[in-house]
Order: sequence, then C-alpha cells, then structure tokens
Amino acid sequence: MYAEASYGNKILDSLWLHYDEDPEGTLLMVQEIQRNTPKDNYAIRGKSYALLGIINKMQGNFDLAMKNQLIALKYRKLVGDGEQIAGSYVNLGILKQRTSNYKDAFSYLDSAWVIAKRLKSVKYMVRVKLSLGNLWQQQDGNTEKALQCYWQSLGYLKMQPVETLKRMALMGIANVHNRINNIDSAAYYYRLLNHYYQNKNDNYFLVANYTNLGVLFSQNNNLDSATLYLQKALALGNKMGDVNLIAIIRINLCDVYSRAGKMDESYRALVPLVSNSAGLELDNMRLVFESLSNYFEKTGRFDSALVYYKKYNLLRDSINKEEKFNQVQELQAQFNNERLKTEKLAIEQERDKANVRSGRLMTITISLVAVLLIAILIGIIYRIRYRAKLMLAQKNEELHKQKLDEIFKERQIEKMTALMEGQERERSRIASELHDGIGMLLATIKHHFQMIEDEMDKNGEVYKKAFHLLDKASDEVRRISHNMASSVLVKFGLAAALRDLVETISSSEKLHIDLKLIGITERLENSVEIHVFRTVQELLGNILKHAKATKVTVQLVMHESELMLMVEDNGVGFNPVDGAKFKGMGLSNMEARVAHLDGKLEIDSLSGKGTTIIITIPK
Amino acid sequence: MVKVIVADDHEMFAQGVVSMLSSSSELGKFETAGSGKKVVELMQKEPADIVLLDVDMPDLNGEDTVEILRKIWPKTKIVMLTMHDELSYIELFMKLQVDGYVLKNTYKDELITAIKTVLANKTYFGKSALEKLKAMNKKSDEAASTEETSMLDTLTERELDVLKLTAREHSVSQIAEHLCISENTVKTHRKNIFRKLNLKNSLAITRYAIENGLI
Repeated sequence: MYAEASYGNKILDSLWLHYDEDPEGTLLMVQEIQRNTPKDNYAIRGKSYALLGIINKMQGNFDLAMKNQLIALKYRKLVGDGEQIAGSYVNLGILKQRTSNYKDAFSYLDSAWVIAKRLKSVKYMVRVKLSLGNLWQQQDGNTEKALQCYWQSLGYLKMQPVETLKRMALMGIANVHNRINNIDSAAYYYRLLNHYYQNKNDNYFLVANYTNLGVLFSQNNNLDSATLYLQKALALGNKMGDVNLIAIIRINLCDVYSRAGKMDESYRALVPLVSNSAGLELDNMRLVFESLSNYFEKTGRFDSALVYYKKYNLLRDSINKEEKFNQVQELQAQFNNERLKTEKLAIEQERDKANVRSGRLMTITISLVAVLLIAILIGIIYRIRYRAKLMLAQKNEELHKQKLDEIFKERQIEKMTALMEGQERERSRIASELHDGIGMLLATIKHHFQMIEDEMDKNGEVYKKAFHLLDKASDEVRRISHNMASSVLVKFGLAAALRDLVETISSSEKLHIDLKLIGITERLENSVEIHVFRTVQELLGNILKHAKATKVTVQLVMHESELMLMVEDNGVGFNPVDGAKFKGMGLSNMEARVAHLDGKLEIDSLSGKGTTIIITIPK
Repeated sequence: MVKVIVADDHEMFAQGVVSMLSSSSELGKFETAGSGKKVVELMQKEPADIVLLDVDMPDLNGEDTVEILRKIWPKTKIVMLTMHDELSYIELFMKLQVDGYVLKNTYKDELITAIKTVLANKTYFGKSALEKLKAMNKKSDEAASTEETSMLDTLTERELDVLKLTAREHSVSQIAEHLCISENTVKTHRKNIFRKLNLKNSLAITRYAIENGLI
C-alpha cells in the first residue's frame, strides 16, 4: 500500500496524460494502483476506473469500457464532484454512441449537460456539445444540428479558451463540411488543424486529421493525395493501436486503391482487419465487409462478393431494408448471370416460334383496336380544339386587361413623375423665396430691432416677446426652406445633403441616426440624387411621426450594378399588407419615386420588431 | 480707421448691417456691394480691411469672390455672413481659409465680436458652426484612432450580428428567424458585408471572423 494516497493520485494524473502512448503498460499500472488504494478512497478509485474505461474503449472493448465507466460514475457520485460526474456521463454517452445506441447516448449527454450548465463549467459544457455534435452527425447525418453544436462550443470557448477543445470543435466543423462535400471549407479547417497538431506533436489528432484529409481528397477524386495522406495516417496510427481508427484508415485506403485500379494493394490494405477483427466497432466491421464485397465484385468473383454482402447486410440498420433488398437481388442476378443467359436464349427461341403461329389473329385484333383508337383520338382533338379556342379568347382578354393595366400604371407613373418634377421645381422656387425673401426680411427687421434697443426700456415685456417671436419666425422659415429644397443637395451632392439632414434631425430630436455611405465618391445623376434624398427625408419623417424608434440606420451603398438604400429602425413596426396605413405613411409616393428610377422597394416589418426598408436602383 | 465692405445682393440687408455697425466706434468707413464683382471693383479702387461676404450672390458668388480676394489682397480679412448653417458650407469656407463665419440671424454683439476677433488676426466661427465642426471632428478623430478596424467600423450593429451568425454557419433562414427579419433582408445585409469587407463568400466571412477574433 502507498504511504500516501496522494501519491497514487499523482501517478494517475500522469497516466491520464500519456495512456495513448502505452495502453498496455497503463493498464497494468492502473490495476497496481487499484490494488494499493484503500477501498474508501473514492476519488482515486473513480479516476482509475474512468481511465480503465478509456483504455478499454481505445482497444475496442466497449462492454468492459461501459462497465468500468459505470463503476467510475458510482465512485464519483460518492465523492460528489459535479464536474467529474458530468465527465463520466459524457464518457458513457460517447460509448453508447460508439455502440450505436443513440437513444441512451442522448440521455447520458443530457444528464451531463444539466450538471455542466448548473456548474457553469465551460469545459464540460463544451465537451457535451462536442459529443452531441458528433452524435448528430453520426446518428442521422443531421449536419445542421451538428454544426450548431460545434459553433456553440467555439462560442463558449471564447469565454474561457481551452486549446484542445477548440481544435476538437474545429475538427467537427471540418468533418461536417467534408461530409456534405464542401471541399474548400473542409480543406481550410483541416489545414488549420494540421498546423496546430504538427507543432504540438499531438499524434492521436494528427492521425485523425491525416485520415480526414485522405477522405476529403478521395471524395474529390484526387487519389494520389488521398493515398499519401492515408498512408501517413496508417504509419502513425499503427504506433498507437486504436483498432477502430486504423480500421477506418484501412477501409478508406482500400477504397482509394480500388478506384485507382490497384486491386492487389486494395486487398492487402484490408487483410490485417480480416485476420484479426477483435475490438472492431459494428459500424466499422460492416464497412470492412462492404469493402470486401466490393473488391470481390470488381474482380469478378461474385460468389465471394455475395457472401460478404450478406454479412454486411446482417449488420445494417433496418432503415435501409429496401435498398439492401435491391442490392442483394442485383448481386444475386449477377451471380446467376451465366446460367440465365443460356436459359434466356432458349426461351426467346421458343417465343419466336409461337409468334409466327399466331400472326394472323394478331393483325385482325390490331386493326380493330386501331379504328377504335382513331375514333377516340379524333374526339379528343375536337374537344381540345374547342377548349383551346375558349382558352385563347380568355387569354386574349386577360392580355388585353393586363396591357390596359400596364398602360394605366405607366400613365400613373408618368403623371406622378411630372407631378414630382413640377413639385420639385415649385419647391425650390418657394424655398428660395422663403430663404432669400422672407428670411432676409426677418433678419433685417431683427437688426433694426436691435438698433432701437438702446433707446427703449430694456425690461419691456412687449419688446422681449416680439424679439422672441421674431427669432422663432426666422428659425421656422429656415427650417421650412431647408425641408423644401436642400441647397446642399444641389451644390455639394447627395452624400453631403444626407449628412446634413441626419445631423439636423439627430440634433433636434431624440433619435440616434447612424449614417453609412459606402462607395459614394462621385456625384450621381441629378434625378437619382433628388429622389433618393427625398425618399430618405420622407422615411425619416415617417419614423419620427409613427415608429417611436430610438435608433435608425441609414445606409447608401454603391454595389457593382446597383445603388442600395437601406433604412432600418427599431420602432414599433407595422404589417406591410395593411394597405390603409401604408398609404397614410406616404409610402405610395415613395413607391412612385422608386418606380421612376426603375428601382425596387421592399418593406420588411413585423409588429414590435422594427422596420427595414430596402430600395435598390439599377446603375 | 478701419474700412469695411458689406456684400449682399439684398440692398436692404446690407444697409441694415451698415447702420448697425456704424454705432461701433472702431469702424470708420462703410461701403456696400450687391455682387462679388462689385466687391472686386471696390477693392481695386481702395482695398478694405475687412469684407463681410454673402454666399449666394449674382456675378461672382461667395466662394469665387473669396478665392480672388485671397489671391490679390491676402491681408484683407474675410467674414462670411450667410443664412447657411449647413456643415457642408461651413467646411467649404473653412477650406478656403476665410477668417470668420457668422450666421445672418445672429445678434449684433456677436457680429461685432466676430469683427474684433478677426481684426486681431484670429479666426471667428459662430457658436453653432463651431458646435457642428466639433461634432464632425470628433467623429473623424474616432475613425482615425481606430484605423486598423476601420473596415469593421463601416458595418452596422445589425450587420455585425449577421456576420457573426453567418460565420457560425447559420443558414439565411436561421438568421432571419433569429433576428426577426425577412430572408431578403438577411441577404441584403450579407451583400453589404461582402461589399464592405471585400469578401467573396460565406467561408471568407468565417475566416474573417476567426482572424479578427469576432467569434
């Protein structure tokens, strides 16, 4: 017995770090520790059983692994360390997944999640999510859910980074992309990972990564690169002794060789798995049989192919029953091909003879049938013609109506355009009159007013009031003239005018407006500038009046082939189908402006969720 | 004796300014001009110490007049006296290096202060103009101090949300549901992100997000 229990604990910790280098030795050491640890030292017992389970799993002995993990869980529950309990649940979940017992796997992972979440343990939350990701991916190829799990993991890891877990998440993401044939994405993530692992000499993951790259290239039909990476993986993997990982590498290698026409190499890659299949997962066993079956099929030995296909089928899930049935039939057909061919020949000869005999009778029947058929055909043709006529008339009418509608709409746009252009001219005329005429007059009066100030009683109520009103009138005139026509728009262009508009509104109203102008470096066509400016003005006016928003984003982005205006607010929103409100908000006016520029106006609004208006105008 | 030219195409206004200023003892000689051209003619006869200049005038507008005055009579002080309180105008005349900028509806005291300041070889910009300039400078300062992330700065908050979700490989429909907006809006946001960050596809977005530590 060790002098101190903590000594055993220390050894265990170092074993945890290096078990993959020498699993056998580790096994012996753990058994030794268990013998020398007092029965009531639950912590060490728990840890050692968990380690045993992991090694069992690596060697493919899943039943024993499960047993040991369950014992570990029991001890850990006695200790009461939440994180370790969660860890046990995760390990159990993974084991259930490896033995294709998905329902239990989900349930174990769920237990782990509840604990990890309660403890707010990022490490274990991530472990659960990663295992869940793998599970989703394996169970029914739910790649979307799997991706979500991996990205969530990366999200948690942002709060508290753990390098190894981050890499596992990235590998999960890469695998999903690999699976759904997103070759660029997968290759990107794998390369990112390769770099990590090579630096860290993390062999287990390096093997996995090489394998994945091999599979990726194999799918991409880059057989040379695939062979290279798989061989690399095999060489490194053989040193470590994870039977299932090696099996996957060999299965893929066999496939790649087979596709490259190297049948001998293809068979040789599988041989070690056939001679010693101890510890292989069912899934992998199935794949070995499938590969063997394929190999024999390709080399023309259909009898052997059928044997392995049947074995393969025994292991298959019942979901694919139908497919399985067909494939067996096909193989069987090929197997019997030679025999069938001769039989078929004989039958065909028989049939020819019979045909000659019944020749006369056949012609009579055919001509009778032909008459009937023609009669039916004619009837159908008449009816079709009649219906076609009707339909034509209907269509003409529709077209006519459509044309009228179009003309009407065009007229309306024309009218609106003329109206708007007239309006614009009128606006600038009134604006300049207000600005230069009345505005100036007011300013002058103010100055005169000030000159008589000295000669008056400075505390005079009337004077003060009149002065205040004068100020107000002058401000009002300026505001109106700015609204009616922006001289900045004419002189400095759209970008400057929008900046001024936003500046003016956000300084006087309680509204935060974020203005983004992207790629607006030159002056735009006159009508575009005016209509876009007026549209923004109207939209902001609406927001102030109706939306109860506190924040608005106005964006004008010059894209390659179009100008895009986007106005988003965080206000009360509305239902865009609500026609009455729609018109009331001056949106039809805006629609006319947009139509005039051949643009498109889209409204995205949800009651209570703000409003987004997107206007695109072709260049 | 300080000589002043008041240039405005509204004669009445110009006269008003003159009579207001003539009560101030430092300023001695006043002339009025109805256009930029008239200002140049008056200056050719006898250069003024200070010109109060309107922006919108016939026959040489404000900015053209400023350029000529600056070239030929660099010592003459120029104060813009205008109705335009828009930033674009203020910036334009800042660039043309006028000495002062005062709004027409200002009080008498402020105009006199402006003239005195300018005559003391300093510049004077009205209170509201100064505020606008300050707000503007603050914005451009902020932009300059974060030059490295300036590409990111062009993104709106919403676009940043879409970027992060896209980087995490959420589909358009998932993002739309998540942010309570339509799929078309999501697509538009993405298009803008591509344009702003000069990226080509959503993998590039993921890469960008990882490299910039956004996810």
